[in-house]
Amino acid sequence: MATTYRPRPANGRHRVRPPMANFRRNPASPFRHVDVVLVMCIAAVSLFGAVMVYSATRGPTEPYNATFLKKVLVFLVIGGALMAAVALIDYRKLRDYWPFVYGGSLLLLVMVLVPGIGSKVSGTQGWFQIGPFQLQPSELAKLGLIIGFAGLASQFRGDLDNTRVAMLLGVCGVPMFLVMLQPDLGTTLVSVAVSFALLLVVGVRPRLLGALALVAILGTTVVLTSGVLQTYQKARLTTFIDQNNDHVSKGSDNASFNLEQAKLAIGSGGVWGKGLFKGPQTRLSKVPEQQTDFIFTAVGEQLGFVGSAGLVSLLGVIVWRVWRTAQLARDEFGTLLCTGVMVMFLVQAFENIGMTMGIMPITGIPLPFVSYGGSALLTMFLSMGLVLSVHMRRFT
Amino acid sequence: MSGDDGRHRLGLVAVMALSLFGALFARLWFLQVVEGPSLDAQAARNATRTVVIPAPRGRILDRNAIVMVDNRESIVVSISWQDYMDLKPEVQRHLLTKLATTLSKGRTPDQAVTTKFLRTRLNDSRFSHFRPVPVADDITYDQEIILREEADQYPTVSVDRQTVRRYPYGSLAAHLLGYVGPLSDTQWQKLSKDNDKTKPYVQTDEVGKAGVEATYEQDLRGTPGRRVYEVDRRNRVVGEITSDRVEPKPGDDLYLSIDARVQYKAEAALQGRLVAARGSHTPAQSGGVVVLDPRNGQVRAMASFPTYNPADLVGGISCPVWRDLQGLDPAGSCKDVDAEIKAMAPEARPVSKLINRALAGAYAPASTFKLATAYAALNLGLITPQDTISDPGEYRLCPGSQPGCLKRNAGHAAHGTVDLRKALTVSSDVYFYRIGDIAWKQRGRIGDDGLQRYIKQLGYGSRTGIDLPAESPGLVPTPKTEADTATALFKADPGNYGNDPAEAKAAGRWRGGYSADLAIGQKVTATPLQIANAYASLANGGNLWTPGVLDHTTPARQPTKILRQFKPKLIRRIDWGTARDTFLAGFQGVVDHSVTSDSGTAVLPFQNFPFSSLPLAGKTGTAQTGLDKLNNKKPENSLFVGFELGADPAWAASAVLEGAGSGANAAAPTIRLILEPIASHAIDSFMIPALGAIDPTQVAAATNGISTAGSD
Repeated sequence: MATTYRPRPANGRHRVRPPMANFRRNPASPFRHVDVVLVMCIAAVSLFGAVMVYSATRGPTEPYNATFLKKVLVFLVIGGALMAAVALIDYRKLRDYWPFVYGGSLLLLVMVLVPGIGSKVSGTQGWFQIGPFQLQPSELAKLGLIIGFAGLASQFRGDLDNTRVAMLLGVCGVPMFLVMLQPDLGTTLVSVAVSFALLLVVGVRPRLLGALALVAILGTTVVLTSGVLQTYQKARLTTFIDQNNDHVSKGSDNASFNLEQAKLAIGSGGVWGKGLFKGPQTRLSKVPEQQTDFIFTAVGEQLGFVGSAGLVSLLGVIVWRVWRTAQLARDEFGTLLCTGVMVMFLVQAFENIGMTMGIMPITGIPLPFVSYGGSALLTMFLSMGLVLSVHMRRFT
Repeated sequence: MSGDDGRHRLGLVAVMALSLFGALFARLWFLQVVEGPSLDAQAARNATRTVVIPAPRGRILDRNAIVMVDNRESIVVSISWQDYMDLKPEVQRHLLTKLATTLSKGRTPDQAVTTKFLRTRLNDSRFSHFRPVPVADDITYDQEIILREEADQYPTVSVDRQTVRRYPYGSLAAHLLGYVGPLSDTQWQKLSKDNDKTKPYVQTDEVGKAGVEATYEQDLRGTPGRRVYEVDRRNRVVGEITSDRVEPKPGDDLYLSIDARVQYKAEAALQGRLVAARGSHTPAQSGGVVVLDPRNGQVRAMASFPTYNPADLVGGISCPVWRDLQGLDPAGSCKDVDAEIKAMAPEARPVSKLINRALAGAYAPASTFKLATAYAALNLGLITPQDTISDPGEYRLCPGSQPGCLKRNAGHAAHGTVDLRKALTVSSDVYFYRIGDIAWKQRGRIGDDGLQRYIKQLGYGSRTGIDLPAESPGLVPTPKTEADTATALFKADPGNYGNDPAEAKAAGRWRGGYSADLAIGQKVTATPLQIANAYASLANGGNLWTPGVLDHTTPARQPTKILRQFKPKLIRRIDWGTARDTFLAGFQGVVDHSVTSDSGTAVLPFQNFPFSSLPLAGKTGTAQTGLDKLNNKKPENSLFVGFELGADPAWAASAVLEGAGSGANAAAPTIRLILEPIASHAIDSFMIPALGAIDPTQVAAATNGISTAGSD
């Protein structure tokens, strides 16, 4: 704001500019356009998730274990603060800085592959151990991909030729390739879906998209038949096709068993559920990895159809609000950012809930805002911060 | 991206999102609302494990509340399967080796516990993995102390006290009491299809295998308790649902009609007299005794020899014990004991210790059968009590010198003029050969099974229905059974009759000589129980009771609260008619020389018996058992049956001593030894020796004053 000299007024004093004057006077002020519905939904879903994580980890009998609950609450506070901070920043600054964000996420992906820097958990080289916390760069990389794509595409201003499409494909492909090397299959699959949606929205010809889909399917086949995947990962992916295959469900650690227990938990909830903290499947830890990937089973068993449909509806509202923001965005960069975040959120929610109910393959994808897991939660808060920022600044 | 195109494409994304959410809702509805109830039921089964806590069996007592079987604690070593499986393989190996060494201390090499045995036990599917798997029982106190004090050296191993059967009097009444053992595979298969509703069995349970333990399994068996545990997905116990807990309830106490002191006297007498009768021509290896109460059919004692100690069978039967029970040399293989016995020569076959000869041994009743023959002849009108015949010592069935045409009395004795009373007292075979002969000759009038029809009324040829397993029905052959047997044999293998149906038919033809043999009790078989029961019905005036060994049952240790009470059960009423007095007089003369001038066959063994306090009658029997390979007569079986006379007789007893000579030689002294202390009331103050110990040699020596003279 340019300052101009104004003579001293008659009463000898300058009028004091009251706080938030801009907010009151300027109808385009970003602060007047915070998407309150989205914020409320996010708050509701994440607090709900905290209760569910607690129910899945407190243990069957007293004394109950609250360490997970405490950690989730810490993450929620940090995540909320991050979201607010990102929302305050004008997202358009990223149009200048996206190469750093994107490059940074690639750098993390490369570093995590280096033994000694990154650490390995159940076959996947995908974590940084930072003190007591673990950072999963593949989660952040999904956001990096979205920002990189949106940044590059907005520079093309809708004028796409084959070279430029190839460049966009490259932006998507490099992080996906690095994530595959870990290997983290779930994140790769989400990235594929996000990339397709972004390519669609940015205006790539449908024929080309069809060709790409073909390549993706072929690629998946090759991946499944070659030795890139661990056996347990393959089993997880294919179990949902053959759910009544008894001979693989003997052991307690294999995929079919997980799915069986998950379906039992959700189904036994019935219409009204067993009541919070009263579901035997949840209380007795029948479902493996329940606080993370299979958190939805805790919802299904304890709160029944009413509770789980309610949660799915809330997630639906979030998807709708992000989609709406994509439409309302002032520029293409904003639209692409929101589209990416929306598809990422949508695919993760669908895949996660779908796998617990046996309609999707089992992959290690967390349920946004509900599953226990710091990196995923922070990534989601950051993403939603961007969406809020886009929404707030649609008139400026 | 131009504005409208971009909006259009975003719309596509929205449609995709909507369809995905639609799919989620549909699936959620299906799982929770449509399939919810069935998945819920499945989840409930999934969440708990039920462990059965066995209940102690009821005790077995005699009619005077002397405890014959109760329970004791056994120290059992178990391994918790779940915890064991969590150990590292090398720790498992080390543990099993160490445990095997500790448990084998003080055991002979063949009884030593091996690591292989422990491993097999752990993998045995009979044992629930939610309960510690028992790997050794009856370990010593020293071993228990080692295992408890060095518990950290034996992870997952626990030491518990368990109740097992205890026999305060050792082998006393072993056959009658029976024993318990693990469920056999076939039993378990049957049970797993149709299990007991109130007291369901589990595979590791023990059941009564013989004797009253088997008959009264339902009463003796306790009601198992139950613990319901919640388990997590690795089946680890998380906690117990205490509201579902059921405490085990011990089984009912069983009071038998047996008098343990009389039982001891009977076993001592049987074993002692077997020793006394043993000689170069009389092996005297086995026998059976029954003592009944004619008033209601209750069994007062039931002895069989050779016998065994049921305590040896506790916790499973080891191979040497099993071979010993079969009468085989304990050292040897148990793979196919039946085949091993089959391969032996008939004479060399072992004498099984498990058979209760008192009710499963079918013997020719010999002269004791004359009661039945006379009863039948009187009813058929073939004789009257007053008819007299002349007994020159032999009876001619047919003219000529064919074998079997001339039948002789025992010892060729000529008894002169004989009526029914005298025929019984002196045991005139000629009198009864004649009955058989007439019966066959008059078969046109009385039917070819006339004698047998009436004989069977006394209970011969059919099971008495006593409440003990493995009873033999004996055999009363008729022309029809004879022909059927030959036909069946021919059918099974024509080679039995040289492939000639005519020969088979001839072999199955009844001959007059058969009737004569049957009349003196040779072609028939009967159990000591049947014999005693038939005479009891004479003693009590005509009630043929179903014998029983149960007196009553009570809940555990509540002697006054009777659950089930013995009630006399009549098989049929026997009409002895006016001839009863003749029978009684004839049988009294057998033992008591003061009532007759005729020489009773058992007068000498019963010399100085206190008849005044126990008026007694009886009948001897000497059964021929055929010829051996060298055409020599095999040793005879010695039989005797005695009963109390009077208005309300309380005692009837029979004995069969195999290969022990004439009836007066072994069986009569045996019955005397049993009844004498009862007559003199010495039994009332008698104390059973510790562990029911019997020294047969000493019994024989102490009673060698009893005369064994006298004939059949």
